[in-house]
Amino acid sequence: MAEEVAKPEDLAQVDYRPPAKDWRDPAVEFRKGVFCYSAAPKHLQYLGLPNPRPWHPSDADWKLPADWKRIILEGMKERLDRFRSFRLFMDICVRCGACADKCHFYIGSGDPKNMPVMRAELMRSVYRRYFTPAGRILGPLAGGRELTEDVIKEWFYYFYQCTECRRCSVFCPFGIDTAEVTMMGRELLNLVGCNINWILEPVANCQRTGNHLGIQPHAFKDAIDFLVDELAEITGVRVEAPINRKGAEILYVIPSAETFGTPHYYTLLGTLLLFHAIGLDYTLSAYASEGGNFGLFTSHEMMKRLNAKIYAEARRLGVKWILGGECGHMWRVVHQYMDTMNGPADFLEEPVSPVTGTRFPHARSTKMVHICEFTADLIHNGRLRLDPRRNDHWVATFHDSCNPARSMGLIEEPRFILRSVCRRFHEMPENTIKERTFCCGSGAGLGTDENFEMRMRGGFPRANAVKHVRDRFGVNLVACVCAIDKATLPPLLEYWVPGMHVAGVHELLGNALVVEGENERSTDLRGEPTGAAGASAGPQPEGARE
Amino acid sequence: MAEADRGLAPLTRALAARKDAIVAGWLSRTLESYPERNRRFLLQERDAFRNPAGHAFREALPALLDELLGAMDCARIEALLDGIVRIRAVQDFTAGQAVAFVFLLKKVIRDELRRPAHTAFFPSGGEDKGEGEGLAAVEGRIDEMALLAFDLFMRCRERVYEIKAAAAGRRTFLLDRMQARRP
Ligand code: SF4
Ligand code: SF4
Repeated sequence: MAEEVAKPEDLAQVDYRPPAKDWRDPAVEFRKGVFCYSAAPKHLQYLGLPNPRPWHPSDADWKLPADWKRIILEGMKERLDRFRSFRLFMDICVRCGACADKCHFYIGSGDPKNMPVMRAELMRSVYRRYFTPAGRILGPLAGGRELTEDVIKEWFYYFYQCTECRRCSVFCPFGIDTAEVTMMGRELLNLVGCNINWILEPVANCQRTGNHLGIQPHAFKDAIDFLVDELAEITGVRVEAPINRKGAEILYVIPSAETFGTPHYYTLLGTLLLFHAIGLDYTLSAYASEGGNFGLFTSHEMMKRLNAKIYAEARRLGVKWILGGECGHMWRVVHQYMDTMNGPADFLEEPVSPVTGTRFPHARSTKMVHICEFTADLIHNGRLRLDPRRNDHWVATFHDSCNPARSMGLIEEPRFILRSVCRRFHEMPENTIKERTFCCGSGAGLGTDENFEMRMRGGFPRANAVKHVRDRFGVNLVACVCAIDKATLPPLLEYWVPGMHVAGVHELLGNALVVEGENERSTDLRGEPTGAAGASAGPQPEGARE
Repeated sequence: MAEADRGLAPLTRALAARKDAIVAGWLSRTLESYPERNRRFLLQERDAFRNPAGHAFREALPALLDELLGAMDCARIEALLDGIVRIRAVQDFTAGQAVAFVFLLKKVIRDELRRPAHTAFFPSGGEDKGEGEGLAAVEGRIDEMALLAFDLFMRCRERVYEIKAAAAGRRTFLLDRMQARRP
């Protein structure tokens, strides 16, 4: 008996080594916590999408349509003909590997199929097999792969494990944008009814009521009214918050989360206070009550449909131009697709700030300006009275949200605002911000609870940089300009960097903003005591004008 | 404790002299739990922000070995283990796989002691019973570390559930607030 006792070193008999696998094998294991659930059939029906049925990704049978293979291959052909970029991205990758270790999902999970080059290869191998002469004849020898049901499952697994953040594209010498490959992958999956609920429910709601949660006009108004009351309580200033007001100069479009979630809500408090301070002639819309466009994560057609509602409202209300709030992917849609999809918006005017007279010629075609561009211009021209000491309880850093940073180049404006309203601001390391920012790990429709572990993996590189500035500079607040970030950074940081707070840039602006007729402010917009009380007056940062 | 630590000092001195080799062995065995293609990256990319997981291992393992051969300061060990376990608790591992890296150190140390230089501490060369008392003490310490790692793993998993619940609350923030303030 004694002889049979294992040696102590062998007691850890758990097999901790992963099996060696050929990447061409498409089999994936749907482990709880790392994939998103399928969309409920009623949403597909409402949107007129194919193959509505109850199914679950962990089922063996996905109930694909009988001719699923033909549908996918025809869909692929159509898109290869229609989108030159797609064909280019399929053809020109030289597998140099420059993108390989740049994806936050790869860094956080260690799964080689999360290398951008491999993610695209999952599609490219099928492209080679069916759409190139060499692949048709030589098959695997030319890097081709048969399209099987397992490949569909693998696509679903990995294309819903990409946040379409475009970080990889920054490092590719050819500018290959794997996010676009993911978008094609998801479009194709949608053709056979393989989509996720966390995307399609908001899409269906958005089409019906104009926003992700399906908030109806009376509830939207109720929330805004409540907010106006609260703002009056905190600041002593009662602001106007017009909804659906025809003839206003500007339509202001927010991410709807600002009317129900925290910390988003405080961003809207700050923004409405700003509009009051400068006497802006604007209106909200109860239908264009969502900047977010989950159509971007579904298909080009769906993205176009949802984007159109903003312009339809601008036309109906007769405004001159559109101001957009702290939304993430809304800006990607506006900057990269709106003009060819629904533009040019000729019925609107080229945006001009009514306060400073500054023209925004880059928005000549879309007629839509980012709130940070607008506010930075106000500060630059000395039109705001700011008391940054009111943010002395915060030591802030700025997380560049992927879409504003990489898809519209909004890099300096939010920083300029933050430095003007907050005296303690520290950047995260250079290779984790600006164009090279790390994604929150939950974008592109993946921010759902059932996918929590994958989100923690994907957000790890971001959180790691936050931890660094906390340890080094005592940072206690991550500012950002994206509604998805505001929803997903708090749980991410609670896991990796407990005690960290998250806020919108315009919340901090609202704290610092000195408004005529206001109370002596003893709290910030959250109702927390401000830092001003005990803080000594230090030198004013550049850009702050009192 | 004193009883358990009998014969420890000479052995830990000998192991401390070979620290770099032991850490290297421990690191490479630990990384075997990741796919082959990923291992090279974890090992070679030195930038702490591009490769936070690899960095965490590189920082924590040598410091853990120092504790093992030194003071065994529980709070410090916990902080060091946390840097690794927090990562592995959300990766594709079972609880056992996630903390197995601690046990792997036993194997690395025994392999080290099989070298001829150490016959004094490990006369049997690991083939049968009769190893020096020091080794039993070191392995006892490794077991303590493993238990701590397991506790940390469980805490991480509990955190995941708590965090999910808190996130749900943030989504209904305004509704709850309106109900509370406008009865
Ligand atoms: S960097 Fe570009 S060319 Fe190089 S492997 Fe990645 S996608 Fe291909
Ligand atoms: S777009 Fe972002 S998530 Fe997708 S492969 Fe590239 S880096 Fe990864």
